[in-house]
Amino acid sequence: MTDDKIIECFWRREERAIRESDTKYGRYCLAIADNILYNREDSEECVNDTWLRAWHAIPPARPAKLKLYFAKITRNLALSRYAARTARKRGGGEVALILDELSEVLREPDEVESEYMAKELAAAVNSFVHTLPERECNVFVRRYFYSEEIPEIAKRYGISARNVTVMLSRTRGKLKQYLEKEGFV
Amino acid sequence: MKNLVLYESFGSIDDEILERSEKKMKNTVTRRLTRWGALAACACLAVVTAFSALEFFVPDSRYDTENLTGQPSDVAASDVTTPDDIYVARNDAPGYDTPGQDGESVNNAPGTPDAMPVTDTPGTPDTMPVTDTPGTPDATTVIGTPSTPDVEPVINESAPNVESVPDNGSVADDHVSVESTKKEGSLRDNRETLTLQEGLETETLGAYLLAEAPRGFQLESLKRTPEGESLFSVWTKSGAYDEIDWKVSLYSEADANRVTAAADTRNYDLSLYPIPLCDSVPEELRQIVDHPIFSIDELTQDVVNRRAYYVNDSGDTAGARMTFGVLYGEVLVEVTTKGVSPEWLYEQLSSLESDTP
Repeated sequence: MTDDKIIECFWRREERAIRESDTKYGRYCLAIADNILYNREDSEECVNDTWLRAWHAIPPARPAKLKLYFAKITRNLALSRYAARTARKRGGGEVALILDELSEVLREPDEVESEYMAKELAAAVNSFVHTLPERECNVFVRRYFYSEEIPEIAKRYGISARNVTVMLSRTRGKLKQYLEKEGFV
Repeated sequence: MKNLVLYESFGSIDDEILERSEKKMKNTVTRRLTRWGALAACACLAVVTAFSALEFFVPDSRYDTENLTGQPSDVAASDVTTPDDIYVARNDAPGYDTPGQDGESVNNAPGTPDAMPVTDTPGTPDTMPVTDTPGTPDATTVIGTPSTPDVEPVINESAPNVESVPDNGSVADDHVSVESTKKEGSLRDNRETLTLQEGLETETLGAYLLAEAPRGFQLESLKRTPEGESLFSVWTKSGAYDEIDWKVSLYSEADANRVTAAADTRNYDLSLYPIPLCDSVPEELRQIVDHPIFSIDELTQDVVNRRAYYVNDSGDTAGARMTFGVLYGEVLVEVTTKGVSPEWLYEQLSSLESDTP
């Protein structure tokens, strides 16, 4: 079923919208959640929550790119779940590594306090990725949006893992400079 | 939690960026190797065909320094082009990448489309055909057969019209043979190796040579063509992939289509063309964007900056890479650099104007 038809099903409140979404994008969303949560059970719950969240959001929403719309919902839900889990105990997996990597970008403990600041930060990050060369940007997005492992990224773009690591390191440096310029650091 | 907030903020990245990252990009090295590999294969085929044709026309001349009539030749052995000569010429051709010398292609210069470098293993030769700069022996046509015992062409222009009857009864066309031998003879490196001092003292051109490179660079070779119309110098930095190729030659009409005004930025501004250049530079502009020539009167720091591009690759030299030419009246200076700054290069090229008559 095409994305347009799935969206129409959501609008008509037909339950098969969820089945079709799961058939078409279930594995994709599961991979995103699992990269963050590193737990199959939690990830599957997260994907189910994604369909539920979409059910409540469409209508009125009419996403232009359904796949990415689901990806963002899944990612947000997985991060919330991750945060809740780490509140109880230190989480493992790729996200722990990613958070360690990002610690070099924002140093002060209370830099990002308010929701307003978080929104501003999101806008700045979005602007920043637009300044990057295509390959650098792709690698950065695969790592920090999709939370993919470095060897996986290397394989995707046909470059070495070391190359990916160096590229990410340089891009984080650029991000730090960018955020400094924007007044976040 | 600050890191988590930052991590969450990546969730607002635009769909178009996310969508773009979904596409698997083919490795640029693979793409480049495929492209150049196909070209190399064609070149090899051409060479093999040429040798086969020679063999067909002059079968008796194999391994023989006598001329086509079978008479003893008065040609000196040194005038005979052997496969080994061809091999040597290829390796000595300017810009030819010898294994271990540089992990990256010569064509990393912006002059060459698709200058995306990506070998991760220093010392691994990313052997590509050499850009055919004016005055450079056409190294791309000799890929190939150093050990192939094929025809040793005879240069004997004193008897160009003599016919011979080979074993197969066909009449050999001596004109074809002589032309072929002329062409192959041109592959030999007849250039004279000079010291820096000798190069600098060369009449007309010497004044435009690079007299001193930045710290760490050493003169690797300096050669002069037999007629003295070109000087080629290569400076390299030990233990690094930094290199400065500095060629000085007399301007010829063949260079005219590469001359551009500084105002025509689309002819040379690399910031307008994303890498790989082969995908972004229009076909009709490719030659001039690859190797533009500026009049020294129009050369500015800004122009040099626009020629610089940067490649971030682990194991390779960081910093600017540049390729272009500068015209000083009748003298053309062409540079290809890796590992020096645009400011330094501009200073050198500007100073030539004031240092020379």
